[in-house]
Amino acid sequence: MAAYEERETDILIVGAGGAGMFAALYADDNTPDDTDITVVVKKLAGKSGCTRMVQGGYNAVLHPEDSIDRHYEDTIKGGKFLNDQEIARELVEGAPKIIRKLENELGVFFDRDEDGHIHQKPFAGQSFDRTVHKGDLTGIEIMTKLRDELLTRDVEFLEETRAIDILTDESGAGAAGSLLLDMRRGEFIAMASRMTLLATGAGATMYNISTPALEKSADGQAMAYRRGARFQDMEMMQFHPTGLLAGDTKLTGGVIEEGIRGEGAHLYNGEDERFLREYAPETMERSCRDVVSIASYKEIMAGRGTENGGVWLDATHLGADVVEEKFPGMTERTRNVGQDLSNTRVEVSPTSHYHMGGAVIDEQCHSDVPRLFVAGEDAGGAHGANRLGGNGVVDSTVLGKCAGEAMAEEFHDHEIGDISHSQVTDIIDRVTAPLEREEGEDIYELREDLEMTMWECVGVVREESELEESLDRIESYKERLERVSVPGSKRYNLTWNEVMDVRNLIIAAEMVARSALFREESRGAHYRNDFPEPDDENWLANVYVQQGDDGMETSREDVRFTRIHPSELEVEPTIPNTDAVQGDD
Amino acid sequence: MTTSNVTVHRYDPEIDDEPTFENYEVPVSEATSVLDTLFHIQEEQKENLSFRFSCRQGVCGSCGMEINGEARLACQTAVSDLDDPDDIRVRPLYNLPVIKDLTVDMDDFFEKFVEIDPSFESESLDETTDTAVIDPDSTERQRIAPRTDCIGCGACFSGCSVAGETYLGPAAINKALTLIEDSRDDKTEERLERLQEQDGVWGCHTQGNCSNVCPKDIPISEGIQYLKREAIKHGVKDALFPSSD
Repeated sequence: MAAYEERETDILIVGAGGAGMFAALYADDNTPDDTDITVVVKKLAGKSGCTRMVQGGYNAVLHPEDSIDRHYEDTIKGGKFLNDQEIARELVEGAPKIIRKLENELGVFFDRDEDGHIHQKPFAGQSFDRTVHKGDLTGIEIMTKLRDELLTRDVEFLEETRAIDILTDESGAGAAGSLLLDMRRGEFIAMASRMTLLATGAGATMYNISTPALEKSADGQAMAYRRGARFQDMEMMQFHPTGLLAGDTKLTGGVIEEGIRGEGAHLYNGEDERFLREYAPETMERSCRDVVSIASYKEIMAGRGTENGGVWLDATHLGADVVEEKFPGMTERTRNVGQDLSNTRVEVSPTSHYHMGGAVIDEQCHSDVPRLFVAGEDAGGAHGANRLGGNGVVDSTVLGKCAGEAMAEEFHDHEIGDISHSQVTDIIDRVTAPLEREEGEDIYELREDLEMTMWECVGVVREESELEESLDRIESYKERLERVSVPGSKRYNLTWNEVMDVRNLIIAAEMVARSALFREESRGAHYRNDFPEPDDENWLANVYVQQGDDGMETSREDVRFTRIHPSELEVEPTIPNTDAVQGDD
Repeated sequence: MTTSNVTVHRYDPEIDDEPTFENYEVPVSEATSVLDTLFHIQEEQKENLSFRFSCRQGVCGSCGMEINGEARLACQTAVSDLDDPDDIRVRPLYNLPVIKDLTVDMDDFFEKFVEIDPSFESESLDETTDTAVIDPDSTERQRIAPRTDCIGCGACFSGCSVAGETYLGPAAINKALTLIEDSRDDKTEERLERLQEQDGVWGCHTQGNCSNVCPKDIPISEGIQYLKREAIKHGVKDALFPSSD
C-alpha cells in the first residue's frame, strides 16, 4: 500500500520562477491573513527557472512618447498575428504597473539614464526603445528581490518538492490539488487545494541544444495535458541563433549574446563561407533570429557545418580589445570552455530557447480545467508565432499577477474537497515502478534519444516525412519509458527525478511534433521546408492539441481578431530594422 | 581528452554513520567543468550521487560546493583551470547541514536573510507613483550596484571562519548594506540596530575569506567594515540623542 502524507492549502502554486512568485505575491496581497498559500518548487525558490536567467530585459511603456498601442502592435506583428489578442493586451497594459511594483515596492534597481530616470534600450522588433534592464543581469535582480519579499510573508515554500500530477475532484473534471514528492525525504504528499496554478516554465530542453535551466521539463504542460487541458500553437518553439557549442558539457546551448552580431561579427560554415549571403544578402548576420537560425540549421543539416555540428561565429576582426570590453560576460563564457571569443572563432548553433505555445488560458489564467490555472511559459497565446525579446519576463510577471489575483478572488467559492485515495495510489504505483525494476532501460540514454529526435526531425526546419518519423520514434520512447529502471532509494534520487522529467518531456514533444505536422505553412518560429511561405489565406489560425479517446487530437480554429486585423497593420518586413540591438532574454 | 580523478564526498545521514570519500575516474576536456564531472559520474557511471544544479551558467548559484578546498560554483570551475586538474576533491559547503552527498540545506543560510528583514519598504512610493529618480553616479548607487550581484550561492558563508550558529554571516550583511544605503527604503534604523548586536557586524573577524571566494567578486568584507563604522555612528547618535526615536 502506497504511503503518503495528506495536507491541504487554500492556494497551491507549482513553480517558483517569475510567474509562480508573482502569483504568490499577488495572491498574498489580495487574501485575508489566514489564507494558506503554498508554493511548490522542485529546485530552490527564486533560484531556478528562466526569469532568473533573463539577461536582456523587460519591455514596458514608460516614456511619454511611447504608447501602449505601439507596444501592442509590435507584439502582434512580432507574433505574426497568431496571438490571443486579449492576453497580449493584458501583457502590454500590465507591464508599466509591474515595473513600478518592482522598483517602488520591492526595491529593484533598474539601470538609469544620465538624468536618473529608468534607462530603456532598443530591442529588435520594437518601434521604440522600451526595454528596461539592470545590466545583463536583469533576472537575478528581479528574482532576488521577489524572494526577499516573500521570505517575510506568510507564504509557505516547499522546496525540492515536485508536483507529479494534478488530482481531480469527484466529478473527475476539476483540479482538487496535486500529488507532490518531497525529493529530499523521498516521501509523497497528497496536497488538497481550492485553487491550483501551474507555472513551471515549459520544456525547451526537449532539444539537445537548448538555453534554459536544466530542470525545465514541461512538467506543468504535461500535468495539464493529462487532465484534459487544451493547448495551442505548440509548434511554435523559438530558437536563438547562437548557442555556444561546448562539446560534451552541460554549458552547450548557452546563449552568445546577439549584440555581437549587431557589432559586426560574422558567421561562417564549415567550408569557410559567409553563408548568410545565400539567405539574406542585404542584412547578413544582422538579420532577425528566425532568419539566422534557419540559415545556420540548413547549413548544418546539409553537412556544411563544423566538425561538431555548428557554424563559426567570428568576431576577431573587431579587435580583441573591443570584444573584451563590450562583451566581457560572453568572452568569459567562451574562455570557461576553452575557447576565446576575443581572439578566435567560436562554434555556435541555433539553440532551443522559448516555447510560445502552451495551455489555452484566458486573461485571468484559467485553463479549460476547472480550478486549474496556468501562467508563464506553460501557457500559450500571448506571443503567437514569435516572442519579442523583452516580452518573456513581462509574460511571467503580468500573467503571474493575473493568476494570483484571480485565485485570491475565487478561492472562497470552493471548499477543499476530499482527495481520492485510489487516484493517489495509482499515481504513486506508476512513478515508483522504475525503482522496483532490477534491470531495464537507461533514462539518460532515452533522454538523449528524445533530444536528438527533436533536433533532427522537429528542429528549426521541418518537413512532413521527418515529422512523421519523429512521431514513430516518440511512440517507441513511451514504450521504453515503461521499462526504465532506477537504482537507489527514493531520497534525493536524481536519476528517478530524471524519469519524471522525461515522462513529461515526451508528452510536450509529441504536442510539438503533431502541431508542426498539422500546420502546413511557415510562420514565425515554425518553418516547413515543404511549405516555405506563410499562407494567410488558410493559416491565420491557431493549432490546438488535446488528449482524446485515442491519444492526442489536433484541430484548428481561425484566429479571433478581437482588437486588430492584419489588414490594419503594415506588413512586417522579413528583415527587421537592423539598427536595433538584439534581445537575449 | 584526459582523465581526472574526482574524489567525491558521499554521505547519507539516514544510513551512514559518517561521510566517506569515493574516487571516480572521469574523462575531461578543455571545456569540462567540475559540474560536468558530477553529471558524468551520475549519468555514465550510474552512481546515485546527490548534488544541486540549475542554470549551469553561473546565474542561479545552486551548485556552490567546496572544490579542492575552496568554495566555488561547480559550473563556473573549469577542470583545466584548477591548480591540480588531475586530482579534484569535492565536498559540500561548510557551515550548513548536509542533506545528502554534496547537497546542503540552505534554510539556515536564508534564515539569516530574514533576520535583517530583506523586505524593502517605502512609505512614499507604491504601485501608483512614478519610480524614484536615482542618479547613476551617486555614491549611494555606486555603493549598492556591485553588491546586488549576489546570487545567494553560499560560497562566502562556507568560506567564513565564524559563520555558523549565530553570526549573521557575510551574505545577509551584504544584503543589509544594499538596503541601508538605499535612500528609498525606510527601515534603515531597524536594520542598523540588528547589525549592531553581537552576532551582527561585530561577529566578523575581518579575515576577508568571503570576498576572496565570492564568485561574483563582491567586496563583502569591505562592506562589513563600512557597516561597522555606520553602526558605531548610529550607536553614538542613539546615545547622544536618545529622544529622537
